[in-house]
Amino acid sequence: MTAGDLSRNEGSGHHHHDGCGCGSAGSGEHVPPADLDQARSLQQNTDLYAYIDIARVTALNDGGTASRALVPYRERNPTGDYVCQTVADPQLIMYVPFSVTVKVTHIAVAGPSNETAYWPATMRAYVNRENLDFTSIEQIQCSQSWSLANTRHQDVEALYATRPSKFQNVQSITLFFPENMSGDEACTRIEHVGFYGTATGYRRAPVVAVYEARPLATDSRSRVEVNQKPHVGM
Amino acid sequence: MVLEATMICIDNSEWMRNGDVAPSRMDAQLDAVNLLCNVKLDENPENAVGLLTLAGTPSSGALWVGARSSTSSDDGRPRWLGTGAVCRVLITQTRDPGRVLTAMHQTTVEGEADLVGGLQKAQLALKHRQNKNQRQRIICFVASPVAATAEELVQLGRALKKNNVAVDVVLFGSEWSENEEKMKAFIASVNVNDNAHLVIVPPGTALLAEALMSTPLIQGEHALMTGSTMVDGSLGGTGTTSAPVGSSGMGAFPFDPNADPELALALQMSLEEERNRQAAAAAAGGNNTATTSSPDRGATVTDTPMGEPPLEIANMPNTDGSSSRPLSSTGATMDTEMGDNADELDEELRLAIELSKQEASTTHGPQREARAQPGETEKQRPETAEKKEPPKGS
Repeated sequence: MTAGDLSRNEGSGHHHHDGCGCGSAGSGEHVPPADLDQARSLQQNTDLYAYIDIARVTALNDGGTASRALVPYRERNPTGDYVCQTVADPQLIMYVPFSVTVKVTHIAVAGPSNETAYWPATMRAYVNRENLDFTSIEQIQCSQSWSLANTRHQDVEALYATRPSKFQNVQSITLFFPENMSGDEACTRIEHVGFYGTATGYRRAPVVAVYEARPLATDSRSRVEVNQKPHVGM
Repeated sequence: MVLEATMICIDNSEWMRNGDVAPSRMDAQLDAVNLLCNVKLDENPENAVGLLTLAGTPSSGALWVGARSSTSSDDGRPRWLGTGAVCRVLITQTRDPGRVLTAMHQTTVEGEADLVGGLQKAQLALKHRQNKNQRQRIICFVASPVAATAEELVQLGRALKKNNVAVDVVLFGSEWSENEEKMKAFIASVNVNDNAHLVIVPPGTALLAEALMSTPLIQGEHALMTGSTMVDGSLGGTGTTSAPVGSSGMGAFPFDPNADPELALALQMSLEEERNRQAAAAAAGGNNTATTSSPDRGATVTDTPMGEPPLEIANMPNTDGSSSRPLSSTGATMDTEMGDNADELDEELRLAIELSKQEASTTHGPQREARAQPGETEKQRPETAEKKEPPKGS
């Protein structure tokens, strides 16, 4: 992990909101409405929920609750309580596979609206890695990491933009939250995790092919073709 | 039908020579392991079971030279001679019960058990399972005094919980009361949504294998016992809150509910309807409730497979005016009922069809019409089932 990874994500097209902890905007600054609308429309139009393979979503240290945090943008409760809570300690690993190859442009994470101490403080994403657990995840380099904000502006939650080069052909994303905001609380609570981007539609699946062991005349479409001399071209 | 990879930890310390659990602790344990292994592998064709021993002398054929357990004392032996861990994996995750059996019979009773090391090794073995979709479970038999402290066990429990490993512990033998507190603390630290259980089998109450049959280890979601369970003389066990389920080894059904879920569901619904019917009959009385509920039963059993003729015949609506026969879940009673009405089947069929047509047109409500359809399609099945019966009987 380079030093740049640990700092707040930079780059154009980055949407952030009130009190996100970013070095440039102090907390309490009012976010212009245009930005919010842009964020809202982005979340509504580019939601990748439909492409998440929900049945194969797994998580470690979540007590079976992580898949509840994955809901479509329209169905999440903006002022709701947490749905996912870690059990043993504040760390959480969530593995999210997609049914088609996608390009992820933004990731959104929100904790319970009234208890900011429980929000995750850092997020690291690992693209196209399978079967990561707490020991192996420390040994590999993440695709990108973010320090997370602990507020949400109205019904628009904080969006974290991804570096395009790493998130082009995404089959699965593993999210790792190593700590929570307070450092004292025993668990991390998450209300919603969302992925936003475009689906390229390519699916990784085995090719089903039928081979002809021997060409049969009856298989061809018209008898006229069979009687013609073989010729090159077309 | 949970897809699960299980590691069974066998305590093969010197304490296993004791005969307080008949015939000896080791033999009882091996029987129980055999039962567990078969149950797990039958539950789901992709389940896998592995085996490891908790005890042994470090130099007994082990190639492992590892960090010494904190609880063992320094005996001055050079490290390279293998003063390492005592736990050995006998067989890694396999779907073949024969291999587990072979490995099981190769265990020898020796040494002292290292519970913490054994559980850590089991966790490692599960981490490297071939099918990552399987859930992870460790079943640990303990019948010797546990040397680890409660703090060590709780810390280990948290690490196991963090990695989504479920643990079941079976305490048996005469020293179970010494280990009870530590094991309770351990299970409490590992438990997530009631997936960890502590089962205590005091010696002399029951055969270890039979005692385990009524616990959540074997029954899984069918048993409603949570937390720690003390098995007393009866196979039902204490702390059971469900009524009919759990009364026999396999629950209320004399067959494996997982093998035929449709039949299990149908039987369960019939049982409930019957219970409602009897409650209503006791309250109101009379043939009215009996005849109205019999098409219900006929409807609920429509999806039973063809090969269950006794069940369907017993559910035929009875039209000779007497109260319908209570549905029983045991095969014996059903057989005698079938013998009784095998002669009158054709007449009953005709009468049944007429009755369901009548019921469809009476004011018992629109649901009767909906049920008339299944009643009519069902009549064809007893016909063919009945044709199958004479060739079978002959």
